Amino acid sequence: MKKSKFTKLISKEKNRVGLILILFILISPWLWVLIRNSNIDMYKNIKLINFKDEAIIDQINISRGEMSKTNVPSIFGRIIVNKVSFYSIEVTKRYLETFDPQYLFFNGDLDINKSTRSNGPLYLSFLPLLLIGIYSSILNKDKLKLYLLGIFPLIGAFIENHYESITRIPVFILLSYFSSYGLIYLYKRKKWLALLIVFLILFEFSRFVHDFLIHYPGRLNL
Amino acid sequence: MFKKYFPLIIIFVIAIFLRFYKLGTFRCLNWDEASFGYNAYSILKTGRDEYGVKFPLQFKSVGDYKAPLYIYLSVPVIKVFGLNEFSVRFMPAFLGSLCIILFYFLTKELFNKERISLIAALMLAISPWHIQFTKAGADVGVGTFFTLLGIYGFIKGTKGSKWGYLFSAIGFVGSIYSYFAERLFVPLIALFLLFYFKKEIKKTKNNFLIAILAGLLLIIPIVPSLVSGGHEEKILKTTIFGYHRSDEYIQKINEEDKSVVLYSLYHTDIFENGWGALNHYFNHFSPSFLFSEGVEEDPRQFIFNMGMLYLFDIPLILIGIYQIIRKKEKYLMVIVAWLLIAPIPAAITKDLVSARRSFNMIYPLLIISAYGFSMMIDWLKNQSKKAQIIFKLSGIGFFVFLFSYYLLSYYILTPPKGYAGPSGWHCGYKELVSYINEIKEDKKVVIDTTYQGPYIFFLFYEKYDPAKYQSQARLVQESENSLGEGAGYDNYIFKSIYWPGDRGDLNTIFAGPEERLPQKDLQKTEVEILNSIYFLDGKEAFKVVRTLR
Repeated sequence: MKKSKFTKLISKEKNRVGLILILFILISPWLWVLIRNSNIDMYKNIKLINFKDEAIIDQINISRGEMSKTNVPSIFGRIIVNKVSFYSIEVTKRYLETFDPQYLFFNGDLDINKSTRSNGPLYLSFLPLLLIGIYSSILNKDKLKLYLLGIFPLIGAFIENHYESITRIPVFILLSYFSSYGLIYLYKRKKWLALLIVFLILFEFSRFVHDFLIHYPGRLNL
Repeated sequence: MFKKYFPLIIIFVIAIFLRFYKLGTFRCLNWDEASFGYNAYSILKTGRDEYGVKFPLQFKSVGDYKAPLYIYLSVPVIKVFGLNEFSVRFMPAFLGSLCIILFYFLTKELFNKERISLIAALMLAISPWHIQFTKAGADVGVGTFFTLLGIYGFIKGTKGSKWGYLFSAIGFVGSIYSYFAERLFVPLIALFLLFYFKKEIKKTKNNFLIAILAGLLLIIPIVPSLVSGGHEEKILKTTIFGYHRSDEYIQKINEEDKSVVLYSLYHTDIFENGWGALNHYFNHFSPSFLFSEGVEEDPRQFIFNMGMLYLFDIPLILIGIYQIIRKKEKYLMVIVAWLLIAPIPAAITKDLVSARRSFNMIYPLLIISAYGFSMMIDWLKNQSKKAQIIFKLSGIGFFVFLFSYYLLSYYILTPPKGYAGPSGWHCGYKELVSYINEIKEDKKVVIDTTYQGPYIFFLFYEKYDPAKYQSQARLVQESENSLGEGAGYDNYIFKSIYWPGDRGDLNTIFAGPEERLPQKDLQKTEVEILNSIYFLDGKEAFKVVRTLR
């Protein structure tokens, strides 16, 4: 009897998290922009970074040229400045961009078709919930989701365009999940704070809708 | 004693080496450094700044206001070593090296663990962020030492040390005298410390009161300059409080909104500036800023292909955060508050991100990183020998690669990428001054201001008598919000060259970039091309010509 109550409780919380996750996704800017511009081929510019990318080769050549003017042994330079290291730097940059607060909460994709540029794909009010969600996942040793948080950004890391959004959708969904989990966690402990954050989310949502309907079309047509 | 501190001494020697190696030669002097140096020289020779103000507590130079302590501390250095790049950069490098020792003792106070303190000190010694601003003539490099002293002293004070609070007061007041961003950071962190340690303060209130009194006495002299017009001008020039949205933007928003309510809800000045400040604040926690890109827009903060920390700090910081929280470390809240308050001075300025103004972030971040590293060592001890060897070798390999890359980037790859402009390193001026001095005789010399600030470089490299300059000093500003240019002295005129109009000035030397002295307009019958001075990347910086009689 006790066991079934416990199971019910778990499933109830899971249901709540799921419901809030769906709500969070539905109000998230990235989804609205995606639906609005679904007539545009958003995939056409998604290219992998080429290992022999001209920009990378140029950087290597310039760097080696600068090193040749100094006393640095060329073998030392070749170990450090080469295609593998510079390619890795480019991939790392893009990987880390995924977690850039300016990208996530303020500006989004550099392409106006994939972001309003006055909102990120997620709301800033998600941030405290997100941190709480991640923290509670660590406490609960919810390893799978934490691993996914490290793995999902890899998709965007190999894309040539910086801050590309389509390839980061799995990350947005996962972050929304952590936020919804965080909201439940917070609501149980500090109800007033959870409600305050919900109010802030609603304000941000209204601000986004206002910008999306009134100002974004103008920017889109520029 | 020597044996006890031997590892720390080694780390200190590394810090000294990394900060003093090629200190005066490896980078061109920038205009802030030149003005710090020349004003210190001016104080040394005349007891007045470049405008003739006697022992000022804020220095106006190149149209900007500078905090005084760095300049006064540089006076004896310039007396000993003369007016040169090394002297100007000496104090930040010296105090920056001392920061490593302070940081060691501070971390020891926080965790009481030798290993964490040593790791933290080593991390600070080799930190790209710390080296960037302590191996240059930057006021933040001076201010940071005093801030660290302030925090360390305070923690010592709460533990009953007789001199702790006094050192803290000296440190905090010293940082207010040193750097503008500290004028916001210090009151905020001090308020936090007061609130957080109120119980401990009650127990040690006598020491605390003496320190407060000393602090008040020390701060009194600078109070007038904190409420002066110059300080207000500095705030308006650099922060969002002086930022006004364009009329076109407001008009466009109003036209689209067609509603006062919507405008009042989403587009007021306060809301949009506040939103911008929030954006700036969070930018300082961006992994791109911290680990992979740094501040690409500002050559003085930029390290090519690198962030402000090493990539190996990422796992260490993550482990550190987790472990510090899990172990409920006593000083957890101090570290968190320090980290959260540190970017505030940068957040309210107009720049999207600033490693200089958020410099205080480096300490809590490295404390966390060192803690993470120490925990990793503990974890490693419980692994199999094979795993230990693999882990250690790959860790050392990763570290050696990243550290070598940093040195390569810092010394070789970065300097050619930021050699000119107001936020750059102002290359070319040293060679220009030297050449002009060879040829000028009594001719009129016109120097173009495209790269900004030529007057201060001429004063600096000519070691021009400050007493003579003070009577001629005149600043020309294009607008209230722009930095100014020294108009000239003796036969020098510093202005934007307009060749079609200026070519009529006969027997005059002109120096400027190709845009101002276009090759195609330099007729052999009118001018003699005397020389060209080049930037580090081989691009022409200045063309020097003389109009014929």
